[in-house]
Amino acid sequence: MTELDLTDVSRWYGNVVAVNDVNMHIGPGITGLLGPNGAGKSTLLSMMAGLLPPSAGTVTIDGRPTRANIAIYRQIGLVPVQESLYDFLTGEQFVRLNAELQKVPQPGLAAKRAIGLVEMSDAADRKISTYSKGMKQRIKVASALTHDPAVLLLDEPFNGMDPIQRRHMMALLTQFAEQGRTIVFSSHILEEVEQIARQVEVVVAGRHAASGDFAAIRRLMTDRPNQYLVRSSDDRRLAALLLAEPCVRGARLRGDTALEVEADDFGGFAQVIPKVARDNAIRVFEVTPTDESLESVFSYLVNS
Amino acid sequence: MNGPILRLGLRSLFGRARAWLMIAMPVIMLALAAVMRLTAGSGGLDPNSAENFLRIFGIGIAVPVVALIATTTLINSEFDDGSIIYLLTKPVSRVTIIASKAVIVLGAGVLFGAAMMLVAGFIMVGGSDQVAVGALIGGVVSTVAYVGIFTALATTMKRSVVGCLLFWLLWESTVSALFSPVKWLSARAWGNAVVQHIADAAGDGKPGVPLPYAVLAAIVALAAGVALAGQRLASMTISEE
Repeated sequence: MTELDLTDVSRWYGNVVAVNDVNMHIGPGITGLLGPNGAGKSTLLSMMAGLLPPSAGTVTIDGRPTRANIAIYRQIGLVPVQESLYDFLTGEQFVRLNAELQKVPQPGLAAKRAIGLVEMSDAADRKISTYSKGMKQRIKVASALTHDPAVLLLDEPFNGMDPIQRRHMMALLTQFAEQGRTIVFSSHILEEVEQIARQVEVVVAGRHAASGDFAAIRRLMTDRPNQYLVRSSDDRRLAALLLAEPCVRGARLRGDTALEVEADDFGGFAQVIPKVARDNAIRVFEVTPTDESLESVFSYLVNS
Repeated sequence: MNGPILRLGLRSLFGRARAWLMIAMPVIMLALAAVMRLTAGSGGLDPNSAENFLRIFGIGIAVPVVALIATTTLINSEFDDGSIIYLLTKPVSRVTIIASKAVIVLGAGVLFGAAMMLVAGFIMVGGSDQVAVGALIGGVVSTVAYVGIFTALATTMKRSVVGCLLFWLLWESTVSALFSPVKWLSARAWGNAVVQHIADAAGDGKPGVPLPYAVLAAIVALAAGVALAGQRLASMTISEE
């Protein structure tokens, strides 16, 4: 059980604040670091990896600081975002180099095993300069696995992968998580986080905007206006009736086919609409929340 | 020193086409030396001319160019493209990383710069007047200084390749020729002084700085460059946001 803790962490460059007073407790399993580009995700990961000193606060792994503590790298595997590798090496040479630098007892074997895990054995003898984006990504992951790290940090790991590679990488990370490893990956793509992260940490403009599992983040947002698409036997009359309800903020006819409703309270509206419909003999065909996805949660966080 | 980083450095330096650029320098120098010897006539080449040539072409051009190519390959490019991160996230100290790289750069400078100056010296005048030996030692001293200076520039400047090039062209080649006190702060002047102190043929002038000063200054430049680079390595982000 390896735990990664960020306590009151800030990082500024001159007058620019990149990370602002962030507290996180990250345990085993997959944690998604979600935020738009430039939100400070990479700065956070750099500090988690001990590469960058926090301007204030501490980052620890099981209570030991990651900063100025090179022994910590025996526990950390880092997959950086940039594609530049030592691309004059073959994949096998590159992964083996990482194993040797980690002082793994049998670097050759460890490299082979790691390459096997990411299914790159067939291309391992080719120079990295001939690899596709997805292959580079996988060989980078292999290079981070040679020493069997308890903590795996990945910066935008799904960048440049095709859907099959992406699915494979997601399965791989899920498998590592099941082995009890602590995995943190950053992403600005919601579906990625949605699919595999047990825990989501939302970072916006250097601030820790929200934290929790997916549902918890959504619950945090229930006091904001929710959009619904409603289809019924009589949209116009239903709209008038719904407007009388305090939890409904607005209703708008979308042509003759549907009704768009904005409601204040998620729970309240779910109870109101069947009651109103039944009492007035209106048949409801469809009620679809149009912004349930993290996408809308996210844009809400960004815009607020 | 770290074995895997040394091996990686060798592969990086010699596994790519740019190695030929580095080899081209001494080849040109040896060819010119041979031409000078052949055109010198029956009396052989004047040791003073040989010494001048070794200082101007060897220390003035070959040594800095070889050091520049090696430093940019092993340090600048890895910093600029971020691949250094794979070395930084390992249980290896920062100074060991930079020192291992500096050793390879130094080795390349000695092999393709200083040692070839020795050979060029022998081609031109054989062992006479200690010209060849002086060139070797002067070449080593100036290589040591250049490696330190380029390493420091490589890790602290944004456009570091341009920075190193400008340092060589402006400071070492132009400013130091115009303002005499610059000799106290010039890798080229230190190397030149060592050649002039050791060789019996003094070439076209007196050594600019005392021998112990030149040697010490080069060593200080190297140590300071490595220390500064190690310091700089202590703060890296994994991507530029």
